[in-house]
Amino acid sequence: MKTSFKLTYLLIALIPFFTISCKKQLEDDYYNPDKSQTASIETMFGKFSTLSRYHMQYWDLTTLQKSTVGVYTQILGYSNGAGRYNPSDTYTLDHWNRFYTEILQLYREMEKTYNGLDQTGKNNYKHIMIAADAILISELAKKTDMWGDIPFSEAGFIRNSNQIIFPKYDSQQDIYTFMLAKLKENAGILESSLEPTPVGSKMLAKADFIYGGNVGKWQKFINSLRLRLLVRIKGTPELGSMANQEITTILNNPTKNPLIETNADNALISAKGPDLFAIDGQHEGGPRGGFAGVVAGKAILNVLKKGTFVDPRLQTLFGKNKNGHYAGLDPMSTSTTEVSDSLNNQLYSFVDSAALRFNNFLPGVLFTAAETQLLKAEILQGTQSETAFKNGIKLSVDWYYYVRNLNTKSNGVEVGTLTPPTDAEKETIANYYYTNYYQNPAIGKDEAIGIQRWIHFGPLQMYEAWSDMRRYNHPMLSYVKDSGIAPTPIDRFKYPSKEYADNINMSQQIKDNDKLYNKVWWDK
Amino acid sequence: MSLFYKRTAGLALCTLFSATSLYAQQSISGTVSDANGPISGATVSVKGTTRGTQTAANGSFTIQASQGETLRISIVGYKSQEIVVGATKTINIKLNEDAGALDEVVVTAMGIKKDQRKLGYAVSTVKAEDIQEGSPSIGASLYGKAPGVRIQSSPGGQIAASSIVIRGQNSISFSRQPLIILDGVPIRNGEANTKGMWDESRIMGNGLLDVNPNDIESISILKGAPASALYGSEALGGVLVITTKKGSKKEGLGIDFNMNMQSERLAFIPDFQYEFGPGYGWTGPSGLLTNGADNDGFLKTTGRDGKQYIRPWMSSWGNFGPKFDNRDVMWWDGEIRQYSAQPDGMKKLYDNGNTNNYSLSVSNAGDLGSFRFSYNRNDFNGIMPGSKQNRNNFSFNSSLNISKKLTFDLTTSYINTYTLNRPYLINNVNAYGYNLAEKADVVRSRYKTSEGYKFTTNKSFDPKEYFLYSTSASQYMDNILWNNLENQDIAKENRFISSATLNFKPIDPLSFRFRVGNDYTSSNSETKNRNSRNVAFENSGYYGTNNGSQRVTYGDFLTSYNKTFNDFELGLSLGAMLKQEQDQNTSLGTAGGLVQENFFSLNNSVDRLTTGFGRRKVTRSGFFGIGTLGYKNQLFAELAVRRESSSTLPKKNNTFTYPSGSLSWIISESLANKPLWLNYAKLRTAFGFVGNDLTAYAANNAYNQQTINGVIVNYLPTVYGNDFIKPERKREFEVGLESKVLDNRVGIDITYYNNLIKDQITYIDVPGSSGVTSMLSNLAKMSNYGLEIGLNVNPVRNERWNYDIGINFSFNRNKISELPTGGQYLKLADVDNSSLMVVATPNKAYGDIMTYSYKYDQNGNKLVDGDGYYIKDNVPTVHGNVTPKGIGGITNSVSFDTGHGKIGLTALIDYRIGGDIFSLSNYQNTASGKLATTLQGRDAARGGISYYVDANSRNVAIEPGGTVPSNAKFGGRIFDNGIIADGYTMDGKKNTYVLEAADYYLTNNYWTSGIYDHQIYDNSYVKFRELTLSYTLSSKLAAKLRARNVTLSLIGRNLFYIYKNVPNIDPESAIGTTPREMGIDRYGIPTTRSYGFSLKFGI
Repeated sequence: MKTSFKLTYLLIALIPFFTISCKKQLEDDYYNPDKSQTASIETMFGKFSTLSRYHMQYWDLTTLQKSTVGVYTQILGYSNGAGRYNPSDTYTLDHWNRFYTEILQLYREMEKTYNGLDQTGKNNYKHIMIAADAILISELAKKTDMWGDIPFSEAGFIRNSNQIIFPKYDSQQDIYTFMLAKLKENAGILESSLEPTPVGSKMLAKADFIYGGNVGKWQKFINSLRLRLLVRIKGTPELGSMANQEITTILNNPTKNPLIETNADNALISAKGPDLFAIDGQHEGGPRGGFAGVVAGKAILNVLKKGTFVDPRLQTLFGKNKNGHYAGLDPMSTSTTEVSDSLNNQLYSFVDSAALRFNNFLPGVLFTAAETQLLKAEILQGTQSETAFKNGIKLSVDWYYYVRNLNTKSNGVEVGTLTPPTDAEKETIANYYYTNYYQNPAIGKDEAIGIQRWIHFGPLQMYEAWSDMRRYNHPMLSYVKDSGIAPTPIDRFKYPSKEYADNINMSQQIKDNDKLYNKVWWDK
Repeated sequence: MSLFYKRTAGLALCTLFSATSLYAQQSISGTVSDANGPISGATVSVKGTTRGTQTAANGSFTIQASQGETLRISIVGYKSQEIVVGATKTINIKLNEDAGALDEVVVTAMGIKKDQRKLGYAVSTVKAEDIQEGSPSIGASLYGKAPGVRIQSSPGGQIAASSIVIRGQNSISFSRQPLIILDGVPIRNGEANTKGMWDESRIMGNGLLDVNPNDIESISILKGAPASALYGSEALGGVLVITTKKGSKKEGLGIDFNMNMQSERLAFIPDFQYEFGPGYGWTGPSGLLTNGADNDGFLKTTGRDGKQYIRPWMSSWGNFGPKFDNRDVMWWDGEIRQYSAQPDGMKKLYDNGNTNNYSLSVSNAGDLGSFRFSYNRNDFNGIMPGSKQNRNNFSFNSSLNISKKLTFDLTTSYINTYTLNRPYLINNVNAYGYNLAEKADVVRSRYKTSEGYKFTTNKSFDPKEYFLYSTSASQYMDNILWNNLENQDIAKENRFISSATLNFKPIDPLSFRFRVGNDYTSSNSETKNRNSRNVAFENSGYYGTNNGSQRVTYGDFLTSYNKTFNDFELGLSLGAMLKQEQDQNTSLGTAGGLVQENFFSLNNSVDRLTTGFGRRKVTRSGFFGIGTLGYKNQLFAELAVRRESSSTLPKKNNTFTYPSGSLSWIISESLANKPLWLNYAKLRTAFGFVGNDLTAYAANNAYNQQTINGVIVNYLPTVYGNDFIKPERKREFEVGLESKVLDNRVGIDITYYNNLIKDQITYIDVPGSSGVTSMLSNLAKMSNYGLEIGLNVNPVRNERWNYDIGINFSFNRNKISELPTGGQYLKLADVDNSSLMVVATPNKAYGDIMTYSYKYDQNGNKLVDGDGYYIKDNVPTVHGNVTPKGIGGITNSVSFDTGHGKIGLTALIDYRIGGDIFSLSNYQNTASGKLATTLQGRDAARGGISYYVDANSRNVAIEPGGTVPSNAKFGGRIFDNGIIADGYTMDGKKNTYVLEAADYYLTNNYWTSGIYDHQIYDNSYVKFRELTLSYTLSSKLAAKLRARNVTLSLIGRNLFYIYKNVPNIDPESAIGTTPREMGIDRYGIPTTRSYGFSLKFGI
């Protein structure tokens, strides 16, 4: 009996110890052991520069690109069903949310961390932030070009405030002003101090999956991005003259403002292996599912293959049909039965399986050298323009063969690589387009350049192609009119209805202007 | 509804009461004692009368009673005794202590046993005898048994989780199943089937399914906050305190054998049409004629023999094709078969299920203590082909009297489960088709080739057996037959639950209790997917393994002091508890297929293995104190307080305190002149708080981490936690009345409660542009009020007959009083890309069903567009609510003693009033023309309008004898399957556009674009849930068989609906244990009814 008394007192005496150890245990167990409680700028940048958003991702391709920008640009074939030009609200919301919750939220977190550093820390991380700015702006421009006015200056800050925020909408002009100022400022910094601190250099090299820490290449990307954005707004009454001036400054001082001139300098997020970019056919996977069943539009095939002429890029873009021919889906065909029968019977050209659909190494594209040339071709005059036009085509050919030859397997079947065209062959191709399009008075310089940019952007940069076509109005394409609220390809996306429901800071003016055919600012 | 009322009214039978004759009374006196001496405070009453008294401090009593009357002596903690008054006027009674006596004792929070009379809050008790023999699970056995307790078991048989919701919805986002306490230890239960078809394609179970209903002695259901508060956060949704059977001293060594066999049969097949086969109508873009069919609707084809045949469009999802005319046609596999209706086509896709259950228990008790050992074996084969489960339950309960002051209880159970191929959701099968011409025997024989590969339409894979045409049955062949009959998904679970309790009473009023418990599950599962193709053609097959463990470790300490001073009883308890839950899960699987065919090993992967790992740990601790005060056995008060800490909350808010209090007044004891008809009356009231935490790590804002090519990267989740989150706080008030009248023949128990849950933790939708799509917040508020009524009537009670009626009813009203979101509602669940949503809306009840309805003009007429189709509204509106308004059950038990044995009949009917369900299966089956209701308008006999198709492809109505223009399409053929949508055009004219019936049904019910509003139904029902007919041999006869007792029963479960409103489906079709999912029929799998027999044999 005494033993049990002793036992009781012992247990009672143990209660305080139990309480104390318990308290500590409770606090420790609050934290998720499989998540990190801290993060530094370079580890965040590592993710920021490889987000699946920049890739040819299954989900966005399937739910949005295929049915919107792919249709508006006719880079892809589509059948003329009802509502063909009207984007789905759900998928639009998805695209919208992905930008703010994945890209911008992470950027804001890096920004916050950076702002909390002392001067030495800031010096070490400055170049990473400059690189991050460039990636952010490349994506931000895409969003404002899709919608026009969007939340930005107050957006993405949830973690700074710890409470619900309702970001206001910034005008597209303000966003462009911000983007160009930021890029210019950063270009200026790199011009004067290209080299990061030794620590900064190590950090950047480790986390930079785009250029491996090569700041010189980042400088080229930043200036090329400036050029793209400046060209886009050069026609606006508000910022047009500033833009034209800047363009001239950039093009006249190539040493101070180097651009992406060779494919080696392309801003790409490569798919180096299963860790970096897992193509698995799942929702976050790659083009395997996204490009499944996607066929060529007739308009683009008509350019790539005309009479005896065959553009060497054709075999890297589209495959032959069941009968061994190239056949695109006619965007003017209203016979849905005929179209679906032909689709079912594989009578159209599919998006190329080795180069695009089953290419496990397909990179995400931010900027390529051919675009620089084709932008120059538009701005410059005379022989400078002609040279740029031809160089653009040659670089584009090289680019597509580079993409194709990253991969040697199509759906598990070994297909080897393709021999790229020789310089002489490329010259012939460039001259063909120069003679038959650029110089052809029935077509003209602008249409010729527009067509080349259209082909070059192709299935890999359809958002870019759509923006360029809205501004430049080239190439000129025909569409069947639909009944309903979107009779023709739209001029901008409507804001997701969830934003209406949740963002109390969405002004009446923003709501009133939220129409499919209200052109965005630079398109007016 | 009127039908429903009639039937319930019919069941509330009028009753007759037998009169009690009175004899001359005399004074009887005596003492009540136990082994240790006299017992004070024991109740001595004359059975069947209102006369009663209590024993004095020396155990003595005096009472008026006549010869032949029965004295009943009872007190908490002792086995009651009854003694017939004879000639002698002095009666001394020795009572035996009985810890297991649950007659008037209920188990309350922390396992504290209390006299029901002293409780100030509602507790429902379900005893072993209330649980039907062969109940598939504890959850399913509680249907209609306790007021305010809503049960819904998922279709899928006994291996599917059932949901228990007590007193309505308590939390908007973090709803909880009630906490399950098994012999004092909290065990794992959890939600299941809430992830939707894409993320969880099989019907899952939850932890409560492992507890064997045969081992249950009693279940106390603690409903409100005052009752459950001592258990802390996890008790927000109520508590089920389960006590298992123990060895009993009275019965000595007992060996019981129980055998139970039941068949399970498909209960519901929608009311299909059996007249029209596959096709999408005659005209239109995908019509039969447009696609080259002949005038009868058949396509031409060349057979393998090179001859010409006709074939129906077997890959069609729609069933608007040619009428079944029994002619010979070519099937998708190239064979020639009859094109005929298949009235049993759907039924034959399922097997007949069966369950066999055997249990054996051995128990004994003596001075040293008691024990009970039981073994239960359960073999279940579901109706889904290839699904089965085998389960072994071992349980050992023992109680050891170490000394008079020290006892030690140990209860342990070991459960070993083998589950093969859990039932597969058939939602996708239904969504993709399976048209009405398909023949079940063909489908079931052709899903694999003779070489053992999956069926194919690709000639190069199998030139002999390839299908010539694709078929609507391919989803069924692939997902159900191939997946469940060829592939294997094997789950093995070993679960060990134990509870060890030391009771120590060093000196009289003081007692201590220490308890440690453990619930540990180790699970191992393997997935073996066979190669569906020859590896020469394609990589296929998969092998994956998943190892996990789930552990609950629990300990508590309780010290109690109980003392009686004159008229007062004082009780004081102090206690502490600590609970830790730890889960871990590791998975490995092959990627890209298996290299060597059907060699199931991780060494056989084409690509690098995929891996997964997850873990979770939650620590909770609590300190509590309870004070009770009783006065003259009439008035009882209780005050309790708990201070709780939870690791799921941030440091600054992780500890919180909440009190509760209750009062019980036994009016019948206080009345000076208690009327004869009143046996017992008690008024009670309680008020209390309980807190609620959240799921592990939900609040912690941390960075996701991964490595990319060896470099660590961090990023942020797109949902925001909240490092400032506070616990939810629920306040509840209840008041109740318990009474027994008319010779204890009528008993009633009424409770009214209301509660308010503030600081509700919800994920609220925030604008995506803020950086996340939702964040945890404390800003919502919700309240409930309701009434629970339990009524027991014993109209017939004599030597041979006994008839008991138990009726319970409850209703609950819920309101979300605050919900701060920028939008008007918070989406809780959705169907088809938000075409239909279950939402929470401020100032409305939880679970509004919202969808896009028709667009109406100002006169309330439906609007149609320029082509004669209904216009769909572009703003979603509320069209129902998933929460039932009232629930309950009616039990009728009759027993008749033949002299040789007892015949018993028990029938349980349960019902539900109100609450809506959306039926996706009805929606899809309407679109695809499967339902009999879609026959309307398909031919002239069924009101179809005659029309021709003009040159512009427009349908033009034509009167009999009218002329068809020469340029009309389809050779000027007149069709008789026209429907005009009942509506008005925008300019106010009555719609005259003729739509082909197929077009009408397809368009209005198409995926995302159709009008979902059609298929929302009031989900009231009255169900004949349980029926038991049993025969128990008299002990005399049983003794001849050398048995203590022998009972043979016939059992039926889920037999039929006396009333239901939703057509074609079972009102319980919804899967998922969360209330929001219970309002959506996603066509999970068909429900079943079961019947069988059981034999109980005790020696």
